[in-house]
Amino acid sequence: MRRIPRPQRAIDPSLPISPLIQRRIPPPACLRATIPYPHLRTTSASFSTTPTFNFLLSSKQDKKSHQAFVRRWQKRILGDSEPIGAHVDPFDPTSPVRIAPEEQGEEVEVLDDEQAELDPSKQGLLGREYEEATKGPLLHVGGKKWIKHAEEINLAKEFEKLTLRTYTPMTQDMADQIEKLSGSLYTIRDENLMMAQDFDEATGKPYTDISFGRSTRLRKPEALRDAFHQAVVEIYVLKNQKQSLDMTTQANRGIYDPPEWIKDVQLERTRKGKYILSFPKDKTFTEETLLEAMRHVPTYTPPAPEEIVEVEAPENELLAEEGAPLASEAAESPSPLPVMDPATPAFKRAALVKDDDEKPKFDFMSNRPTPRQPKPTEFAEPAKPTERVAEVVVEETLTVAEPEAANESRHAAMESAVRSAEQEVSDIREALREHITSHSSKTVMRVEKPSPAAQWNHVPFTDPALKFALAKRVAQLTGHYISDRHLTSSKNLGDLYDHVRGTANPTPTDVYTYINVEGKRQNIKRKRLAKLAKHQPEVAKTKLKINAGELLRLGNVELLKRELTHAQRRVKTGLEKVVIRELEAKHLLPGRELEHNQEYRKARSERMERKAELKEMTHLFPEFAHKRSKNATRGF
Amino acid sequence: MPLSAIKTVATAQNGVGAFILPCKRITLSYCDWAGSSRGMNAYLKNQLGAFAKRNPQIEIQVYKKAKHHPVMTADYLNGHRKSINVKNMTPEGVKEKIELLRNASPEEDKRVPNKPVTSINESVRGIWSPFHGAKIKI
Repeated sequence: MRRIPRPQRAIDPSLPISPLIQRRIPPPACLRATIPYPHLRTTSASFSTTPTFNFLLSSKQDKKSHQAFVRRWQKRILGDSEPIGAHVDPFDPTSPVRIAPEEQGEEVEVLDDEQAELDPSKQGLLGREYEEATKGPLLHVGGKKWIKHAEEINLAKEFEKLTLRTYTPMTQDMADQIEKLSGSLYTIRDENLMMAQDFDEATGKPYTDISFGRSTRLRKPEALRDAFHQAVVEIYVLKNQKQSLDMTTQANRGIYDPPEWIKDVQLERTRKGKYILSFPKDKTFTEETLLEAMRHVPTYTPPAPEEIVEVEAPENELLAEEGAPLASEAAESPSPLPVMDPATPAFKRAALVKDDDEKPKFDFMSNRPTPRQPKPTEFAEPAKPTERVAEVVVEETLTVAEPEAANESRHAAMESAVRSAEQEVSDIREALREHITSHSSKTVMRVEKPSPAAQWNHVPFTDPALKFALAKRVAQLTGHYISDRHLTSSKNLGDLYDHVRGTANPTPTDVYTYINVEGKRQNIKRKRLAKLAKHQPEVAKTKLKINAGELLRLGNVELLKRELTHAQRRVKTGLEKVVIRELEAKHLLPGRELEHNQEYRKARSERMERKAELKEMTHLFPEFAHKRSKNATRGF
Repeated sequence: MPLSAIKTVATAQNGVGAFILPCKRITLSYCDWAGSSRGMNAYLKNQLGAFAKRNPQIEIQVYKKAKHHPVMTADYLNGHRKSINVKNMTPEGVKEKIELLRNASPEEDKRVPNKPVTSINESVRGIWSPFHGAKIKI
């Protein structure tokens, strides 16, 4: 028998296998992976993890591992951008990056007394001491909304510190909110407080660079007409004087107190076809005076300081009597505020020190001998315009006073006659217009027979810049913005005025509001024509079209916002009362039975009286009112 | 005891002595948003006043029913109800329909193929029988 040589270790692929067996049995792949270089093994144990010296003997090295090896030694020898404490034990006392024991977060016993000594203001918004609530309802603290509000307060304060100004408010409500959040007033446009007051009175908006127009819009037709008239006169004056048509570029931004006689300024047509302004017959009523008034900027002059009266105390009396003034002490001069040198360039002005009230201020100039004095502010400049304006005002009052007494009554009588005639003529025109079918748009009213009083309607727009300047001024005075479509299509003053009126009183879109609003308007017109018809039979002959106003007056028409419910229908048809009477007869409605009970009714009326009395007394003496919280239940 | 004749009373008929319009109420519903209600809305704003003035005996109710087609409903004296959907109609079309409802009979619309006349009165000439007429001998 031929003996087949068996390998010494069947599972060890390192030992030479006879070629006879090698061909038959392919070595398993997993065993090859255990030891990569079997001829360089240090141990004969299979699956051994003892490191081998492959790096010395193996010719072919793994590229990646070689690179990592090189990189590692490079870092150690040459240094790298690794953090200093990357391979350093921070808890080793000899290491340079050791953590101090204080920072390690050792437990420190804090007694109750010590905690009370800690300043609560420094702890922050959320770290307040617990205070038991004495009056309800309890504040809801916490939650996303509350945290957001707290953050907003901090953000507002930070913004103010960094930029030395507050957010620019768009409305008065916004200004109040900002003042509440940041704790300081909003930044006004300039130091002129008189101008700010006038601005606020005229527009109702905060005095900032971006405020324009009014907070409320004019609705009344008389106010709209006056504002339109004023705007037309102002723009034409600016045009004639060859000034900028944009009044917002002026120092007062177009906000001033217009003179009374501006209403008497009219537009007249010359023989050549041009339109000019005609002023009332007075020397002071000129374009120049109006222009000066339009550019007037109010100023504030501080009053003279009052003299301090020194009272000498009597020699014998050591104690002062009640009410007697004490000896005057020298008023402490306020510490001068540090003011930035005006010579500093613009790029350095932004580098401001954060002014934190919580932190103690560091005095950079602690070794200076004397405090710096602030430079005096210049008050001389605004004196000139005030003088000029004062002169003009004085002249105006003098000249106006003389002829006023003589012509006042005559002027007033003439004015009233003209106005009444104007009204009658416009009413007759409107009555006639009912029969005229117009093909134009709803907002533009075409006047077929222009009367002498309404000539200004036909003044055409030759200069588009004038039209747009007028629209802007009208927007500023009335608060109404004319749409682009109407603005570009307007060819004369009348068109623009009609669009302003249309914008101020838009036609309601829903049927219910239309019938109520338009119907009311038509009924008012009908009543007015009925009054006129008594004196003018011609007007009585005209038959007015039956329209929405009729629906409001007729007794057989019912306008409802919503459909009637079943219960409402029962009440309407009378079924409800029949049902209730039957139920009462069967004693199925105890509440209603009580209604018939006299004693019950008496007690109820007494309770109602008492309630009314309490309400009246609460109104008179609110300090005694009993405030009930929402969460409290009524005790019985 | 003498017998007394049964007193007959003339049967009352609407239109013989007096006439009462059968249509007692017309309810109009509209929508502010739907396009199909434009004609109805225009009719309500401009022409309904004239109709209501000419017909004081009809109670007119107008209410808004959002996101629905416009409908007009007429209630009659006998309790019957007729309604017409006036979607996408012009104001003149709405006017025709409202007048149709006003002029309509309160009875339900029925087919009458073989009976052109309906009456409560007896026939004047009597119902035919084969024995009517001359030259009939039995």
